[in-house]
Amino acid sequence: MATLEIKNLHVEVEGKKILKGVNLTISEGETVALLGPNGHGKSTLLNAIMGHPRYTVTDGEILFDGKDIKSLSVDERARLGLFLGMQSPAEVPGVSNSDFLRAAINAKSEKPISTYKFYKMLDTATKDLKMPFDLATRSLNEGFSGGEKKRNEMLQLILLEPKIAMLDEIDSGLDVDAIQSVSETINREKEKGRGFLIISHYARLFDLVSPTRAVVIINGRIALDGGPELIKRIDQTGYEFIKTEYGIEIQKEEADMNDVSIGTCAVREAIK
Amino acid sequence: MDRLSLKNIVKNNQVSISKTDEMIYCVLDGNDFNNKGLKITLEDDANVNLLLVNYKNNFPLDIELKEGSSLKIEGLLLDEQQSLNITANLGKFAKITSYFADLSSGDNKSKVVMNLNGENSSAFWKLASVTEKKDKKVFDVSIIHNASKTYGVSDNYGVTKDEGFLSFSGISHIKNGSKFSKTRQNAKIIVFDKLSNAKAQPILKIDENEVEASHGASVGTVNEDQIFYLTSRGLKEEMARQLITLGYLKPILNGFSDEEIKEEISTLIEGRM
Repeated sequence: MATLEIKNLHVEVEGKKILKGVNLTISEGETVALLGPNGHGKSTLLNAIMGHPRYTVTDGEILFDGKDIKSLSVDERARLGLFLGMQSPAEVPGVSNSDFLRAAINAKSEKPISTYKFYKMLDTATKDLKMPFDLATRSLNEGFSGGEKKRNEMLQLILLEPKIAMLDEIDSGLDVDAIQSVSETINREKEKGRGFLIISHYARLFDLVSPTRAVVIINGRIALDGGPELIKRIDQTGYEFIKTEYGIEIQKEEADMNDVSIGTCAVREAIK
Repeated sequence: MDRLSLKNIVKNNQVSISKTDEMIYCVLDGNDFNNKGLKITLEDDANVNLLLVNYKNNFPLDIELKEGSSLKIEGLLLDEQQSLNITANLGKFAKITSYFADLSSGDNKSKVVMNLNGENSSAFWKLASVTEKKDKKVFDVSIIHNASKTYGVSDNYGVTKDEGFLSFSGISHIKNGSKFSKTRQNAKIIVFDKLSNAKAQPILKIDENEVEASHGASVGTVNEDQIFYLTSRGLKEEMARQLITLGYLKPILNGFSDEEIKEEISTLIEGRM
């Protein structure tokens, strides 16, 4: 059974300390809800686990089945069985969704998948997600609505069969039917033994997927690690009780000044 | 696909094609012509698809499209030094659509000018170019709006690698008297490595009111968010870069009618990446 262990993880983004000693363990078969106010490190944790180059691990360990994966590249981590369903998936014009999916499946297989088997898998998965098949043949995420992008993330999850899937606000921007469809997919994949670490601001998704645990990240550290009843409490009362009951002062999110661009043409110089 | 060879109908370096019931598929093979160039005239309402192969360096191609005529050019540049030298003059309601896949080697200094002289005439230009091995390529593509309600689009996509230099320039000029015209220029270049270089310089000149004009250009390395996304699904970084770059160039295939030629271009692009 695959296990992901985060030990004393410290992470910086562009010199700013975001995670300040996160400890967390998730095993295959578990579904963990990751909660916390905006700007306290939820997405940073997921991106750091996946190895995003903008997130610098300054201390601590990320262990997958006991092996520290910090030195592994992003693709190596993916091939081990980690998956990150992104909040804002990149658009890749000109790359067909199905070509990409097939290349991704082949990347972790010893021999290439046959055309027949691939399209059968694709057909079944798109039907399960109630997703139009043509989305699978269009350019990867290009011109997709927010909801279509999220369904496409779930399509990739189904086809790539990770051991532990991390989902970053997979329900944001989804209508009621789409949330239902995404939650059904998560539940089906749970039955296959996959582990999930799910960020969401809404109890509705968690009601539908029944997490086994809930952890709350505050000020870059895990402040609470408990049962699913935490989700309901936070949904009803917010995070204030953490201050009153646990004495943890919740730092306010710092608002960055917007970048300002003055009067230039749309030409950008070469980056060398 | 059977195509009519222009060499069979050219006289004194000129050819005139009249309207027929169906589109005429032609081929211009540069090996069939001397360096004097060629003037192609499409008479009123003629409709021609022209495949251009073995284009000779700086071969002057002078195109005249009379009222209501339509020309689609499918250009394949595969040889050494194939600088384009094309001028097109369009009458009322005439339309020219050009797709060029440039996989040539050696230096290139191409100049293309499309003059929209008649009301409601339109010009669409699309280029995908790969520059490598210290080659220096400059594509200067201009669309000049000389009449009202004219429409011009210039889309240029390129990749430069292995110390190559690629430049996209050109002017989209809406002149006086060209009210209600629309023009757009787009230039994007991926610079694949630190020793390669690129320049994108689209220029708009607007002398008339009540027109729409836009231009955009980007020159840079492969987008790191795209790399992260693809690698997070298990693709190696090198493969991710290749896929993204192919995605940049391959849409040019949609402009070619012949499946064998599409296959050839696709294989060549993949080979270069």
